[in-house]
Amino acid sequence: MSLKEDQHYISRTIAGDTNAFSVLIDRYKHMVYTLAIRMVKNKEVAEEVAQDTFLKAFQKLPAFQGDAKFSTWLYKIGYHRSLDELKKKHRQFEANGIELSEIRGIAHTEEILESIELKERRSIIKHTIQKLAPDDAAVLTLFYFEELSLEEISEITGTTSNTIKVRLFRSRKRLAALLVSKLEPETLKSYGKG
Amino acid sequence: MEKDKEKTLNNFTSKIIKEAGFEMPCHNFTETVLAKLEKKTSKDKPMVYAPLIPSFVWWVFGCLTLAIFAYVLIANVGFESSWLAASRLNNLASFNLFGKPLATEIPNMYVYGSVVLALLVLIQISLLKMYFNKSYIRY
Repeated sequence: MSLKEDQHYISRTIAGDTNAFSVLIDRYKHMVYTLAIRMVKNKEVAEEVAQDTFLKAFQKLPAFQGDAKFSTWLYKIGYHRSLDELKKKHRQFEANGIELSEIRGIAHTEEILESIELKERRSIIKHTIQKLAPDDAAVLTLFYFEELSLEEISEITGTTSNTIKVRLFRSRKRLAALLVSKLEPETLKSYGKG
Repeated sequence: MEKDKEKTLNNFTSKIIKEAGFEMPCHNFTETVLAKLEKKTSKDKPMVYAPLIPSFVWWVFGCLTLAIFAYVLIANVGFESSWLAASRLNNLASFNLFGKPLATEIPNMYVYGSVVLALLVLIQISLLKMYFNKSYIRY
């Protein structure tokens, strides 16, 4: 959906056509939910966060200036709503304690991953992402999956582009470290691959 | 060397994240959000006190009254020869309750006024009924 199309549905929603908003929900619900679940790490809570994001967006829609993309504006609401949820829970994440000094065997890890069936591989990757800190998971998802620029991510998170760059660098290493440790022979045994 | 490592890691992360794909919300996600919106907007709507009988009806009613007055005054129609007299509503005044005539004579105008008032009340009741039927639709 282009920016023009988004704007068309936004205008119709502001004019009182709630059905026009359902088009925007259908378009962005997967990404908003993905961002939420990667941050809050719980399906039910992520569902609630994603729904609240759209409710908040609907309320604030008349104030949407169109300076940024609608998706960026929406992810910003979702990101901050997820942070609010996390503040309530005071959750700690495993990946915060990971040693970032040296990660070996990326190529080997890649080989092992490719030898695993797609469905299982996806499950391993998803479990690994779940172990990342919320900010790391959010930044990686927005940058690599949604292919947003550093500027857009900094707009969403309310930090500078340089901070995002550093965070991306660390998040990549953390994800790789987690995957390497997950794909160690002992772990693979539990997946029936050892 | 360091750059190559970083590039490899970058490509690896990109591949991993893309492979993880989207997470799917529940199948009725959109409907749930819309239902919540509907509930919220109906709660937020301000209570508007609109008159039961719209001003347009009052204008019609006023014009009709004026027209009748104008007709009576301009045409100089006597009560006995008017269409009101033809309805013989004044017979109601000579109605013998329990077989005894009333002690005081009720003026014709009073009888006609009471009949018109009763008609107005009946119209109001039917309008109120229509209004409440519309407001509380049964599902």
